[in-house]
Amino acid sequence: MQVAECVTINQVLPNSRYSNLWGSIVTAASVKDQLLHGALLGLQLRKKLPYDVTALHGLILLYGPPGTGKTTLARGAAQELAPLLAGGKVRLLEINPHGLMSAEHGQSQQKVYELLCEHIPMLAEDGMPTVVVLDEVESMTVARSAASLSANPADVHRATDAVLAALDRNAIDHPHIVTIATSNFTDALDDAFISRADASINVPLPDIEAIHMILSKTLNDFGVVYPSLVTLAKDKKISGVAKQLVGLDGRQVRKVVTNAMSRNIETVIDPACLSLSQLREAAVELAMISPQRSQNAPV
Amino acid sequence: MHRYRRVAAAPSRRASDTWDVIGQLVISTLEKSPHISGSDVSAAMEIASAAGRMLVAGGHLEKHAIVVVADPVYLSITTVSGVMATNLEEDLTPVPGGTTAREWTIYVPTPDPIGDAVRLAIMGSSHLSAEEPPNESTTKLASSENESVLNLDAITRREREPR
Amino acid sequence: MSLTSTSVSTYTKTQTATYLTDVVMGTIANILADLKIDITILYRDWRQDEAAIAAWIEEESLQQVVLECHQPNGTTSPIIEFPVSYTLSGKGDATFTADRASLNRYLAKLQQVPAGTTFGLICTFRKAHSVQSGWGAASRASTDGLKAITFGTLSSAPHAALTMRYLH
Repeated sequence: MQVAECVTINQVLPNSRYSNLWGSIVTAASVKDQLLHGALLGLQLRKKLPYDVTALHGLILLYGPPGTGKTTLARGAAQELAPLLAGGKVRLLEINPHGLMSAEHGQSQQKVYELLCEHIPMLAEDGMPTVVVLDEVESMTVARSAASLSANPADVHRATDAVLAALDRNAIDHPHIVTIATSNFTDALDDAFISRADASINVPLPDIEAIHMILSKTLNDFGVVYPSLVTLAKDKKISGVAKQLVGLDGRQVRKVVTNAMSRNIETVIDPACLSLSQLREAAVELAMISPQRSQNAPV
Repeated sequence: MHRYRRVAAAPSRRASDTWDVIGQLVISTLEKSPHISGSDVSAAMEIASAAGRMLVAGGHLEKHAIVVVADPVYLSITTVSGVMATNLEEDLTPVPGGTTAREWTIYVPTPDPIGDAVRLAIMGSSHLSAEEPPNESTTKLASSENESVLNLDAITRREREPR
Repeated sequence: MSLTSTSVSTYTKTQTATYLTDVVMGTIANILADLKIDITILYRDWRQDEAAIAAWIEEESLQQVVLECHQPNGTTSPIIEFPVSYTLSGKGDATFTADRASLNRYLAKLQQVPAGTTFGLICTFRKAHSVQSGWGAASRASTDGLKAITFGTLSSAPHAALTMRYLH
């Protein structure tokens, strides 16, 4: 796989395609604040002061269970940042390095370094603030512990070395580049990588209030085409449905709505007919089969 | 902002043609400034060409860059030879930032064994230097103190919006 | 099961000539600088020398480039020869290599020459060759009494290779 093929998104923002991402993720305000403030502060300080003063690598780590919106937040952060910066624009680059990690023996390290130290800076060499999204970064930065050595090829460990070297170099040479890395499994991440993060932000499973908001927002969004669902979204008994879904991630919660619609042919034909009881039934069933579920509250 | 450009040398180009391309890149970047004369840059690059061709042909520019410092421009130019030169995707467009440059210096590397020859060759221009280029952060600090990355108005408006 | 694919790129004689010309010119510059010989004339004539050598390699007429160092006492030493050998198959699918690291180590062992030593470039041919600007007929200095050390392959390209011999 060529290094250039690893860049799956190269987009100058703001762009209307990304305008809903930030708002679509319901999570604690503090999570979004930490992410946005961390990026802004890093871009400002790293431009004015050298690395040996700031110790900033321009790396923000979002971690938490799958389905909590980490990747969407990372992309949405780039869109949110653009109007807050003097130039009004941000470049979003997203990397899928998995092809490099299965490269010919001995080449992973070289290709990872080439990607992060040469290709990415080249794409960003016009100096525009750039957000680089490294999704599921644990595939590139395995913990170099003894236990891991037996499970992972040496190549992968060398790739971790390359990532760390790239972060150190880019910290000094490219203060306009912010890297937002996401991870579902922080135990698998190398300590040296975690240590380089300017901020490590936990994106947790939604609490009951957040679940309620996710359900309401999903119904409201569908309501653009099916207005009766907007009325359903305002029903106070939605909170009872939300209770059933505690322990599930945001993605699963959103899917409850379409899951409920699919249960009857009438709602398949006309989703506007969706009722509260159908929603409740779908929630109960999903909660029972989901492995992440940690508690079940009665309706 | 440190920027990099790589120029294809042999077998894509002879050393003298490679140096011409490097020269054109430097000229096109710096002449965008109303404070810099394109002909002055051209003259300096012509003086440096004697050393430049040797540096290209000897493979020295693959490891030691020509560095153009014209705040806010900080540009490192290296060459690539062999098979990689035939596959190289070059960007020879002028480097951004030149429009506001005032002072400019081109740092020419002096690797062994041609260091003395290079120093001798570039003595004819005050804009050519055989010294180590300054650390990029030094030049950055000098020019960036009053420039803000942030759009303070936009941030203030955002903070006032209801969550 | 792993799948591999290979691709063969074919290079031109022009590319071979360009590459080997750069290597020989760059090596000559390095040698002259190392010997502290004034290379003003090399700078001055660079384009014409480069064009001529490249043309002769491309037409496969060049036998070797010779660098002669003329000492103030009339002695011509050292003499460095750059023989060119041409690939019979001429398929053009080999790659480009130059052993610059070994050359640098080799240069460190060269004997120094007295101040005031000048240099000359001579080209010899294996067949009829084109006329190139700035190059006229000349004869080589005698190599009688000089010891030869072969460096070996200095550079290779798809259609030809360059070796180096040091006579002192």
